[in-house]
Amino acid sequence: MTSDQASRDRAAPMIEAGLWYRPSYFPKPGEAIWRESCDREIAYVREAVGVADVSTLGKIDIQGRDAGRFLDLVYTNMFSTLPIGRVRYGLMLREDGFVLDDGTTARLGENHYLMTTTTAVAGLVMRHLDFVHQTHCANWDLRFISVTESWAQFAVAGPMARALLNGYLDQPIGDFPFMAVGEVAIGSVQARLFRISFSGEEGYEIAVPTRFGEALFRDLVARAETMGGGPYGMEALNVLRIEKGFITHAEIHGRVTAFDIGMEKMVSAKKDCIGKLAASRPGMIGPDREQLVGIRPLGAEPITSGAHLFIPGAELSRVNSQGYTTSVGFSPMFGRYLALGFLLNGRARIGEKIRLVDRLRNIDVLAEVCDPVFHDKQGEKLRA
Amino acid sequence: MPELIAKTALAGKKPLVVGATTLAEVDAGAITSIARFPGQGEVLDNALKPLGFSFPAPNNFAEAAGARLVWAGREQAFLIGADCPDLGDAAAVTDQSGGWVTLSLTGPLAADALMRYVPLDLRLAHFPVGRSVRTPLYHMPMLLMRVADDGFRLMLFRSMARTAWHEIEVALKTLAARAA
Repeated sequence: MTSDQASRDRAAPMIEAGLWYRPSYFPKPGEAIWRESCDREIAYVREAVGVADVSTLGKIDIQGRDAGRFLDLVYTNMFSTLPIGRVRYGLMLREDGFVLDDGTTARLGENHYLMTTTTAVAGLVMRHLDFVHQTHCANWDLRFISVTESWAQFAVAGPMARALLNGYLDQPIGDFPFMAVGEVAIGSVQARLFRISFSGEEGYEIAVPTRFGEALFRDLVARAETMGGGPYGMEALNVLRIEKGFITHAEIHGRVTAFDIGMEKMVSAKKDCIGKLAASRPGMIGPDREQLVGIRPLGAEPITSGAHLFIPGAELSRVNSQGYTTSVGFSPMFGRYLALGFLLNGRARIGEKIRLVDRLRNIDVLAEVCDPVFHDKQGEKLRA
Repeated sequence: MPELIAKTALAGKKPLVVGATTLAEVDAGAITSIARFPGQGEVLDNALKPLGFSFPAPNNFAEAAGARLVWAGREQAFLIGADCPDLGDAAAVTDQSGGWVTLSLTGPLAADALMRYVPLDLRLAHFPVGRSVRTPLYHMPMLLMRVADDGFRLMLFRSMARTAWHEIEVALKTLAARAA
């Protein structure tokens, strides 16, 4: 990452994410444990403005008269209808019908799209696209290439994100709605601006050619700090997205379907796609499957990911496990830990009490099953 | 008005000299991917003619007026060191300039050092000047060119620049120590 040195200069512990090192958090003098740094960085994004390097997400430049048709084939939802200058969230299935990856794809021109993938699965998605291209549609008017390394990209998120960018870009952003993409300029450098959010706040991502990445990161962080914000790392990023109910590969871990994560409506009825038929097999949908839910403990005690869920009073045996937690973080907003997880027939059980047990770490707490979106369910903040 | 500072992947790194062999970062300038669309071969070759190029055959590259056009994969070539002309609908054009670190490795140890990591026979008789190949350097994807009898040009993912440098440095020093 182009922000690697700048992050290490700030004593950020670097952790492995896919093939990359990313900053876990940015400690400040006087902070004794990581949670203090994490909570402070969350507040940047919820109350001021935070800056994070998101360059590690896979970026695939897709061109050709059949580019839209190709995206319709590999994504469950429709991309050929996406207007130029807009971004859409997409879900991708494996051939066996399970979820492969998710991410946003922008339409830059009539025959030009830019796909983003998750960090850890970028190579796998590229390989999948190559396979689909060569085996299903080798003669289509279609070419794609990874541009992950060609662009450095930074999230600028929070209620003051727009003010930061307006004071920095050559021109103020102007009318730039949620899920828009456009060209902007920083001096003589042409940049791409996306209005997308992984935190639930008003969020932008700005991309520049990689050789300018370090300079842009340092500039954005300096401005954010002047405005009461600053850089945020993976720990804060993770809590922000858990509060908002956004999934990562902790959730789409290879054994879940679009139905399981509550996205079966994103599988378009108007077209075929890779994995669609396989996803409709018996056993791939229905009340017998574990479904994505939010889990809110009744008290403030710590919980863990990987804990199993039991009906209160039931014997703690393997066969009685009703599901498990996948992501956990301490939410300053709610003053307690929150979790995402999978629960048998979970969507029909919202409001039920559930017993969360992690026998490796001696955790045994009562929690409430709830909607996976804890924060701003209507999305008013990110559309602000 | 801010003006962003540009940096190459290994900005400030001094060349490594081991005996008569030198490893150095090169600022390759503009790198543009040109991916030929189906049925556009002739149109594309005509569009490339003013630069002195035609689309390269697999595992080959050409040089003209200080620029290179390098085969880089299925229906894909990289134009290096020249601005890409308007190719119309003949090819998908993508800027790749900042995404790669470019290294030059020149000298008597160059081929032997690379062959410690590259699963190919890089001796001159088998990998002559003008040949390019996509091959791993250790575990890192690489585009490799033979630019002189004793000289190679290496292109690797920018984010892996320091690791690549380290591995080549180890190989050069090992070979030099063994010869001493």
